[in-house]
Amino acid sequence: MELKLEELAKSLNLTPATVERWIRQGRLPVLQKGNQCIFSRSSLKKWAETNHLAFVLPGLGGHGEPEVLADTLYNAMVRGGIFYGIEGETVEAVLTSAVSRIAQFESGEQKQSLLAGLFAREQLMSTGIGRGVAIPHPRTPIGEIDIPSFISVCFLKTPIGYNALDRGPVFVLFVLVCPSPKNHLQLLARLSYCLREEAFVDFLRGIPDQDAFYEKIRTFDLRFDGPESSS
Amino acid sequence: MNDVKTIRQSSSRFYSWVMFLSRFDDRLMLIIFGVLVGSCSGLAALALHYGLSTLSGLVRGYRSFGWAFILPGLGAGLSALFVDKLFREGKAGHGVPEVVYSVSRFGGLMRFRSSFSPLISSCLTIGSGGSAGPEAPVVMSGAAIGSNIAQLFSLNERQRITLVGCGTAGAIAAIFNAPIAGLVFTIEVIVGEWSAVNIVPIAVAAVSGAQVCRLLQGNQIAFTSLQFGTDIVDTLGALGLAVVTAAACILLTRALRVSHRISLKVPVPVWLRAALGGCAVGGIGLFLPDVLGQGYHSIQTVVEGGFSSGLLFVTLVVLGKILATAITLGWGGSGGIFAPSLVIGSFGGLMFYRLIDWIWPGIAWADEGCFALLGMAGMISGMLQAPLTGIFLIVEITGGYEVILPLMLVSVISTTLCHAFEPASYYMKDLVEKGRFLRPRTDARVLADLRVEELVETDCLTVTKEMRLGDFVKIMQKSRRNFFPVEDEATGAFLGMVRLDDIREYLFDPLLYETVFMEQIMDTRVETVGLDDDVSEILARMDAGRLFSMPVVANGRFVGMISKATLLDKYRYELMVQTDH
Repeated sequence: MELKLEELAKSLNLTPATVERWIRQGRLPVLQKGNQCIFSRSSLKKWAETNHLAFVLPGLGGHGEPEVLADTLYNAMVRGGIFYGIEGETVEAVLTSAVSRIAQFESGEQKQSLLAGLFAREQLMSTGIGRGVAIPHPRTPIGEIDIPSFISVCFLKTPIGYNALDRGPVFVLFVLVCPSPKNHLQLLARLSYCLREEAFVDFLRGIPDQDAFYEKIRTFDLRFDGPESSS
Repeated sequence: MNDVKTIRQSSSRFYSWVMFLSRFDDRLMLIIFGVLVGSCSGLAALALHYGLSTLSGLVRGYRSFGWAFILPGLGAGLSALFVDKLFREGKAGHGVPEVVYSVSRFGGLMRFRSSFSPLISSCLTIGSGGSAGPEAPVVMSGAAIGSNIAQLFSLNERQRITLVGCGTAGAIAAIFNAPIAGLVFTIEVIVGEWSAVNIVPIAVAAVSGAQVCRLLQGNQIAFTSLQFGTDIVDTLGALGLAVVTAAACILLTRALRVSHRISLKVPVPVWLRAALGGCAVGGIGLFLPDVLGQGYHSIQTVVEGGFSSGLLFVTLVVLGKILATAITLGWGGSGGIFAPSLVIGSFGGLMFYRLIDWIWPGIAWADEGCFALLGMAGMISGMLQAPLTGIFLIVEITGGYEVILPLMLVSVISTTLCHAFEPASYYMKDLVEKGRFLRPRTDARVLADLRVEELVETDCLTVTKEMRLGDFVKIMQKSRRNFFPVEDEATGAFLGMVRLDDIREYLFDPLLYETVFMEQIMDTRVETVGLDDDVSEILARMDAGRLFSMPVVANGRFVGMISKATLLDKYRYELMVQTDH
């Protein structure tokens, strides 16, 4: 296995210039042979331990934070699913019946805790953002349950009063569940990008079928990613 | 940066076995090299010793002639000519500061010619009668031998420094036949760090240096061992003697500096300057022959109690020796202050003895030779500001342990007094003034090790001067930093910085988005640093300007930012990874 100076530097979280100087000064346990430096993993590891340095070879499973990839609405919604005809007269009732339809959670216990989180968030302030749309989400991220983020789109059977910001009745819920705040913000930003458009809300009012809905969302994702990828 | 260099992970058992062995090999290897280096520098010391005794034997025959005063001039002139023209060493160094600087800054890198040029030049200076010592040149030569052996085997800097120390220890051990003094001098003055990794090879080198000397010369103690009985009055007397030696140290240090400054004003070539100085010393030598040469014969006489002159004459000799040493070294002769210090110390001790014997004739003081010894210890400790070296050297070269109580007292008090008046010893003074005194594990050393290249952070997003604020806001959303360097689009030249802190309140005003350009809001008087700047200077500038970070600009282009936060991170790494693990 060959390692470039840059890679060794990276595994020690140092700059290549520093590693080179340390080799020259004899601080690193490296055998020098002409232009090549030979080291054994165990002695380097031991050295890093005695000096309290972090040493993570690339590709050997670092324990860093997993990188959060930008999620698309389409993927999140495919995971969450689209549900029609959610019943209920009150906020609690529609949320309960919406959660009962969500397939992401298997145990009743998990569903209960999600529901409790949703209720808590509604008590803080209604998630009805106006024009008949609500975005219920738990008050805190559900970090302990290891699932990818998802959005469940739930069309209500009958529009209900939701204490929305514009006092109007709500006819569709986007139940947004994310494992981390960063994820949550990403998806929320995309969702609000869609909902800002009058035409999209009108499109929702028509209660589109699954394929038409996904097709629409896909175009929004492309538009949202468009300016970023071109710059 | 060396891109070709690849680090290969050993895959076979063989390499891990080699690595396993080399952890011990490193120590074993250094010990073996220590023997080699110590022996070589011991030989160098002996060579200089023989050269000196031959040359001074030759010169002694002409001492009686009136024109003899030009002999030291001739020697010093030749020596300066030799150093200046033949070896292009620049000015004749004293040796020790150069070694210390090389150890602390360049990992002990020294030129090959340094291993013999100081021997020849100092032999000319001292052998002809110049008042200087052969120790510093031998130290330099031994250090250079160690450094070049390390380079020959392409050892790393840590190992090279150890071998430089080995050379020093071997040289001192051989020239004084004093292995402990060699070890202690090296650790205290040259390396400046007590660590087991260093001490073992250096001790071995001191042993081999002294052994080589004994093999070829026999086990002679430099000054024949004498029995002194000391009492409590002598210990008290040592207090007074310490004041005298400290005064002599300060006088010598300042005289050296003044004499050097005067010599710089004389508009003649270097070699002629050295020759003039040598003639002046020769002139003094006509009246006070004891000031000439390294002066070990005089010390011998004094210690044995054979110097019968009175108080006034002894005082004259002390002052004469100080003057002669200042002129010899200050005007460009080649040599060290070790031997002159010993001579001044022994005469100083004698002077003090005569003084107290005259004031309190009834008290049974120890022998006058004993006071001469104490004076030497006080003088060496004070000059080098290295009390341990003084104590061990005197104990070893006189073979007497009986005087240890007053000896220790004189050494430490003399060191303290000298330190109060001259904060840096004569060796280190120049280094301290030039900011080159970099002891291991000090702030200055860590900062000297770090370079801007290692600290610079390059993840800044650059903007152009024509960019509007609206576009900048989009760039800003993607950046992780609060600083945005502004570059000229065509040339890439660095123009100024935009700081988020300065413009934060305007960022949310869409009215300004289309009307404000980067060049209108950038700071053009921003302080920048270069890639080759000293980190300590950069820090001083940051402190002075209360800055937390500064842009690094090389050849007019922006390279990255350097910040105190990163510096702390790297600084900590440097302290964590000490060389002695």
